[in-house]
Amino acid sequence: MKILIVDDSRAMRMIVRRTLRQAGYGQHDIEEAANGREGYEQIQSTKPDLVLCDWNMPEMTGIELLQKLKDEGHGVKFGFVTSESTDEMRARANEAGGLILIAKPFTPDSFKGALAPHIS
Amino acid sequence: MGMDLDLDFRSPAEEACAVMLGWDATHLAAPPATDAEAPSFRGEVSIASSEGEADLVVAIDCPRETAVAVARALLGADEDEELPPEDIQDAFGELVNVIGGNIKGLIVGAVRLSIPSVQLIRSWRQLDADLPGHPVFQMWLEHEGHHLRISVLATTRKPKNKGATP
Repeated sequence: MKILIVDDSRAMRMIVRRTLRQAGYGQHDIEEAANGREGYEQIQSTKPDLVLCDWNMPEMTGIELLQKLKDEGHGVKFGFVTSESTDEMRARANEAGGLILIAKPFTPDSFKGALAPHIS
Repeated sequence: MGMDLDLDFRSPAEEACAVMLGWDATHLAAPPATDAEAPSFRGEVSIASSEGEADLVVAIDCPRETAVAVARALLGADEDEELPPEDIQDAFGELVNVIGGNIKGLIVGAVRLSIPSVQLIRSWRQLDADLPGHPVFQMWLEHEGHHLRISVLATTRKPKNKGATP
């Protein structure tokens, strides 16, 4: 399975990658992008199975990226990893087709709980 | 300002330090002695209740050595590993982003969080003289000699980096 991490913080991309490994998903092919626009281009070119995306980023935000993918009929599985997890944001993510919302700070267990239904 | 500020903002900072850094941080009742001439970091995010002006700034201040310790903890770097300045700024900014985002989540009426900005300032004295607003909440956390000051400040300036949430 190919997983794309989209976050404007290199440190956070590294932490997400490490947490995926700690949660038992280290065998998957993990790629990175530094903002929504880069993420969009990478989704077109490398066709990941799952996108784990920050919400608040320069260039293109996570919700803008998800909306664009939805508008184009792209069916990639999409989840947010974000420091904000209000009910309103969860509702907005669900409405746009987001399957997962993991709140920062997170643990390997919170990753496992959120990802298990979506990763074979 | 349209936001409820009768809140205790301690838990987002304590939780972020515990989960992200592995720090069992102590809440200090009084400010610790700080070296006024020590180069220091300030990371901040703005929280707004509407488009345009920011209503609050969450500022996290610390001596440079503490920011380096934060970056080492986040990046899983060894004690003796030299980190490039951009990695220190990026990692410290992510701690600020997480604490700021969780503080925003506690505030009824908050709609927008900026992208974090991080500055290395020549001295603590200079940093302390230039708070970006009026404190409505302030706390100090200590872990193994490292100190972080977390402030929530009322302000009316334009956000430095316009965010896009929700």
